[in-house]
Amino acid sequence: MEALGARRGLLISAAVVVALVVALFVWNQEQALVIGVLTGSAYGLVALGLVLVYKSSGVFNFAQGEFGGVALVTLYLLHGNGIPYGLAVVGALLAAILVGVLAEFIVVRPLFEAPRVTLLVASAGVALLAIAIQVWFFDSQGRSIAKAFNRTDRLTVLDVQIADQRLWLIATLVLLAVVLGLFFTRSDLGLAVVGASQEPTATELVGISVRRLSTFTWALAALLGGLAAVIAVPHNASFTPGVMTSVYLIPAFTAAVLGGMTSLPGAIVGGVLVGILQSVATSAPIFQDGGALAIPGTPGTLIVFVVLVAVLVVKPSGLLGKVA
Amino acid sequence: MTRRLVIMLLPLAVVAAACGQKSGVAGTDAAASEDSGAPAATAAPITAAPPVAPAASAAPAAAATTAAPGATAAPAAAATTAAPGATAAPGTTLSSTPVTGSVAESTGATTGTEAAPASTAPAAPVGPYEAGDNDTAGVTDADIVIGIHAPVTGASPIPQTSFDTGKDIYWQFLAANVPDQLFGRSVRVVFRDDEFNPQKAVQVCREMVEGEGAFLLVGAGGADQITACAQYAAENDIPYLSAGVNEGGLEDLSTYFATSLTYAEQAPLIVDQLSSAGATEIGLVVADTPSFDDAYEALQAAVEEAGLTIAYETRINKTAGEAEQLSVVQQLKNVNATAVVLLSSPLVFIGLSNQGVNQGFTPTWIGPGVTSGLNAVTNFGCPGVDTGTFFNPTPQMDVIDTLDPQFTAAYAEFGGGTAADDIGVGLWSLNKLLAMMFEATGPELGRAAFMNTLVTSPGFDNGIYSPVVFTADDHFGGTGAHLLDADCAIKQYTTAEQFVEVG
Repeated sequence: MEALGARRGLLISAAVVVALVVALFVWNQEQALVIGVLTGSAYGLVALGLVLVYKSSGVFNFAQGEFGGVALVTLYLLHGNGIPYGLAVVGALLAAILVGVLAEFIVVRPLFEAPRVTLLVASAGVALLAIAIQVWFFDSQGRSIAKAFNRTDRLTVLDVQIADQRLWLIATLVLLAVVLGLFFTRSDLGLAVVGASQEPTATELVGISVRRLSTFTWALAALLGGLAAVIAVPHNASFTPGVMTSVYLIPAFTAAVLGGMTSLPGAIVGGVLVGILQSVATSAPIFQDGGALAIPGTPGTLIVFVVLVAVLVVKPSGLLGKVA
Repeated sequence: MTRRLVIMLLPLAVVAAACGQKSGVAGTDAAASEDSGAPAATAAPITAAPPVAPAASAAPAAAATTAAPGATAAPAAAATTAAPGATAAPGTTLSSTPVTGSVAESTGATTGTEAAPASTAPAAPVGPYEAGDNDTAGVTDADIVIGIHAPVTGASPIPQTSFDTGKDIYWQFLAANVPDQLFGRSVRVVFRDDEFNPQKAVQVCREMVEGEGAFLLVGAGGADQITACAQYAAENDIPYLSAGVNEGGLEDLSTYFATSLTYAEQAPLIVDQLSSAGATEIGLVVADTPSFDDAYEALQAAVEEAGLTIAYETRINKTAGEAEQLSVVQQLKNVNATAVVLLSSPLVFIGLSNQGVNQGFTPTWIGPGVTSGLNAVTNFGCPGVDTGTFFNPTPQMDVIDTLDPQFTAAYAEFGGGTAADDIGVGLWSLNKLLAMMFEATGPELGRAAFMNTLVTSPGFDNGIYSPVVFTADDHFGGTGAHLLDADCAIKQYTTAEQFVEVG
């Protein structure tokens, strides 16, 4: 029965994607497809971390973006002080993991038995604290940040240039999807994490520490947030404190809900779909003033919320998830 | 704007013809004015006097005492006379002939001569404003409190330290060099971050008025925040000044005054630049806030009137994300836009321009804007912003020493080791303008008297802004702007053109 449901979800997802692609070509908006993949990959990466924490603990982690914020600041500081870029990236990811572990120890663990909504609020508090610390150090100012790869014209698809930094992002996303998929279905540790999220008491009874699994999960989620930040943001040449929360978190949440809060592939599909929708809403005449589906205000932003609400109302489990 | 210029230039031409002077040139023959007495009359434009022209401080007294009702303006005297004598008296004929004050400036300050004593100050000006219950709130015999708000956080990369340091450098300089300039008062500046949020702006403005006792309020940037706070100020009869932003939502506010060209007023300047640069296919990108509706329409009209083609136009989210920025850039690239007229927050400008670089698309980004022309933008917006060019009320650091030699010296003396920057230029200029307004109001400073002074004075010229001229019916006082060019080689803006006037 479960397999049947999953297959139906896959079919629906495939149908949605195909319909969207056809519509984009019909509307002469095929570039939105490329732009959506490029920008949606970052959303997908952040969404992966959200899904991971939700899968393991049922918590909507509002601090997910700021794990990346910490990584960005660390990358900026390390590279700015002469550390080679590769080492600086490693240092940035370690910093993100450290913050994830600290958040789990200091905030999540004491509230382990508390209602999930309490943890949700606590995670928002972690995000706000992280932003405040960044502002404290950086005076709210933006900072230039170097890219790992500077070439911007290696590949052009439908007249949209795809920079090397973007290719790195997409490759990372695909690789992570495969690795995490295998991890949660084939490895003991991955299965233990899934088991702990579904039957925590039974997991404890067989001798697995649910709390240690929680620490591991938060560290992994922080790593994903850090990866999203150090790959996606430098492409834009600069960052400001809180950018991961203000720019990436809401689309990533929408992506996670759209894909199904429990589905890792769903997070990636959702991220790309949100990116495409934002792009289409921004550029397609049909959504502009005078168009048949004119959306008042700024369609690119509004459509994210429309999709979020629509999915929650119509199909709370999302495209590939079980229960949202 | 053309009508205003004609009104300004007519009396100047008459007087220039009578005196044998060239219009628009700051006269240096103050002595002649003093000798003759009468020409230094009531409607002289108010130029950069405090503290830069203390040597001429005798002149305003003479002007005040010799002013005859009905006398006409004397622009030559204006350059050297200080404000008090220039305040319009009842029954006088006002003319608007502001002249540049930079010549007078260079002669001042070093002499150490004190300003005109309070006894020579003018009577409180008469005008449409009547004193209310809190008319003198924020003013004592010892000091005046000014409240300034700006989006230090949010969507404008304005360095907090620059504001903290720069907000009262001018007042310290004034107190040290010409302590009696404001009739024995010092000025205390209160600053708050409005977080690029209109609701927060109203909150901090209320705090500055009710908690800190601000006499007047100043908005340093951010159209929506300025509009929100100006509306609060108008409801409470509090003078509110800002650089020119939108007109909609502000035009009916009796206590609001724009000290530079509004965005809509800058539209012809922008189009002139586009025409002279040979731009043909124009993109128009304006942030989607109601505050920018008037500017959007003005820019559309100006571009079309100039015979240029708007190849792509859109309203973009105030805080547009990556997908929206890249989509807009792609649309602009698709239509081969050679120039993009942009009115947005600095962060959106930085995002769009860098997305453009990633797409191999580097048009000229041109627009009005107080914050997009700051060096904070080039500091972290390069390389994308390299083709940015913006009109600004103040020039950049490369020419400030020419326009006002005291600025850098004052920073060295009162900056506490902080290097002077362009935010400091903006604050210095604004405070210098306010000092002229306070002095023109006279010792009996109240909110109504202050605003009456603004609408009855022939204009204020601090030598850094283009002259500022208000009337009872027109509170948008700007007459020109400076054109700034981004240069990513030095990560700074440079001044491409100074005092670009409309028309």
